[in-house]
Amino acid sequence: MKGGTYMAEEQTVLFGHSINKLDQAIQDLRRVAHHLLPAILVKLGLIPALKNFCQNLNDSGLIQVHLQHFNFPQRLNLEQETITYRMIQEAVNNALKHAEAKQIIIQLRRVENQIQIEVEDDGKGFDPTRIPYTKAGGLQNLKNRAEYLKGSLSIDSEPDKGTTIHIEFPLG
Amino acid sequence: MNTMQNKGNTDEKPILFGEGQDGAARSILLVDDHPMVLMGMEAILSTLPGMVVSAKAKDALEAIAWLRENPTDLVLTDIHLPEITGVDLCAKIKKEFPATKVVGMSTFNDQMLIGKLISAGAVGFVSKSASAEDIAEVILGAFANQILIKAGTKNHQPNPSDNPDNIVVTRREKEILALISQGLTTKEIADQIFVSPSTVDSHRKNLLEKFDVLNTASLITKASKMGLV
Repeated sequence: MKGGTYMAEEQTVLFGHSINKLDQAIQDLRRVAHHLLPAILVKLGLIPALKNFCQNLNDSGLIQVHLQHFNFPQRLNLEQETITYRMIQEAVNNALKHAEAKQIIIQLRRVENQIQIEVEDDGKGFDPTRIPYTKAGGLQNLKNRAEYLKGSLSIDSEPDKGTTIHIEFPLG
Repeated sequence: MNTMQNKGNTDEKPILFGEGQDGAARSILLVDDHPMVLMGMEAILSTLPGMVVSAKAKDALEAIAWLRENPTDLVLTDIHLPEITGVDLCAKIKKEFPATKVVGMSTFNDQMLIGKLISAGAVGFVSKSASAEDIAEVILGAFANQILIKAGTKNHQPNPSDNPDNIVVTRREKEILALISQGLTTKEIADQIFVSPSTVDSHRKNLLEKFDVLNTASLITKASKMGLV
């Protein structure tokens, strides 16, 4: 223990238990929070929900997130909106956690009948041909979601050159 | 409640409280800390058929006190109220008087606050710079279970790309800027970066919008001044 505080063995055990319980509670909370859909997404659609998401991140002061949208439809169907929101959330979390990015640009476009999305960060980047085991699962998960929307996902990255995730799916 | 500006005699409940009754006027409570806003809103709403402003309150406390005694169909509240904000007031109303609809209004079109307001259960938002027609539309929409957001035309929340002093371009856009400046055609650019010509075209249009210019020539001039090409 720090600062010269001593604990009896019994107390140390109890203390350890408490920390474990807290860890569990935090994990539970994260799981629940992850599955909660923001009301604003359901009620107002993707762009207002992402504005909210970005503002929260910008307010945290940890990172600067720019949201840009061009010719983007006000509403997609709820499934597309939910999955897209989750993918962007995941991509941003990756940039924060693994890439130690300082700036992220989220750009959403509609081009004819296609939705195109980019999440670009200025972080560490990596060699996409040698994806470490720890990242492979998350990226595969992102790909699966894009494919579920009959679309595709590709990754541009190079060590020290940042990462861009491109997502594309038909509006239909 | 002595500051409550009730219409007519305060001891007497307004006659037009017909919650759920067909044909009865819809009662509206206005909440704003500025008397001029209250009066202006009342004037606008009085032109709507079937609506009556039953009371005006200057803060959340007055509003809740009124609602306890007087079932009200809709509350139109400012978001920036002293002490208890309009967002908190909205949440409280939805908890205590779930049948009462809430619409928010504000001078500022802060997306985040509008988001919070809607999440708190509001069924609409109207900017104070909106036209009388827009205000009417949002209120009528709320009664028709439609969530409408009228953010007004002035002081709209800028898309970050609207701000010419802070143009943020993606790597793909930089790439396209460079290729445009080399005089490549849309088709040639598309072939070079493996995307469809319509995607290149979309990028080009978006860049014109971001840089607030009308043609490719001024786009390249401006981008090169900024050191982007």
